[in-house]
Amino acid sequence: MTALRLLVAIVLLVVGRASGQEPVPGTFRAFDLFVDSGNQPLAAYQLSFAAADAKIVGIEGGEHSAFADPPYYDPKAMQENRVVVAAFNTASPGQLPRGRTRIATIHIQTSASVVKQYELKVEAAAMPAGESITVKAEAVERNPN
Amino acid sequence: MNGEDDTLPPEIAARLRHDAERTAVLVPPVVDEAVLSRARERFTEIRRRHSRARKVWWMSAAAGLVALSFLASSLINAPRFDRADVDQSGRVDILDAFALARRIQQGTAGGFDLNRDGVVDKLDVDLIAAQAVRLRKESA
Repeated sequence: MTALRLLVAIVLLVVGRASGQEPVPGTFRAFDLFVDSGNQPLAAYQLSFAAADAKIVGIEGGEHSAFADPPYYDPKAMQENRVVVAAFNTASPGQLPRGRTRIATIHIQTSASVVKQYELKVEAAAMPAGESITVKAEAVERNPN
Repeated sequence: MNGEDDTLPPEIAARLRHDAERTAVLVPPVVDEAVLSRARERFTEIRRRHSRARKVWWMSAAAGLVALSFLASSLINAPRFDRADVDQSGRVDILDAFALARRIQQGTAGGFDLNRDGVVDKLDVDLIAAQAVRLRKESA
């Protein structure tokens, strides 16, 4: 019986290594992505986010009802350290967020106690009529508890 | 000449004519060499012309093949990318999906049936959005 258990353990170890998905030991962390469109209503955005020594494990929507659904992203970004997130809303300007608003949250798994290196870029943003606008973007790590 | 007949007797004239016809024509070596040289030049020129024509033909065929492959490549790739670039900014991003969604809302989205299912709807918008957020290989 002991030999059988040992054999199963060896097989699981071999299969686990062969699958190439070595788990990153460490913690799960979350980054809130904020966009500040100033006085203009935000109708669409596209951001790229990358974090060193981390794997993206989940993406959720933002705080404003216009961007509450999870944004568009490439499913291949899961288990990668970078992702492009994008969303839009065709609602009227009065129903869209202005100023600083959380548009998405990205959950990562990392071995580092503190994620020191990450990059956030604005790739596109627009107002309700489709005109491109310049916005500020910020990624803020949630306080790990 | 001194009252004598200066014409040859017919037998001698016939004999001389006969001998002249039988004698081989002697071509001087200089002339022979010149003719040979001209002939060589001429054949070399003909060969060169054929070779040049063959080269031109192969080069034309290769150029045609390259042009054909470019055309095929652009026919395969270009339409989808061009059509997804709704706002014609030169790149496909979320603003194209947004632009198409607005057009659908306004009822002016004709011509953007990207998935070719007969209707222009949210599926076409999603197709553009998916293309916009697709991860590309890092250049580094």
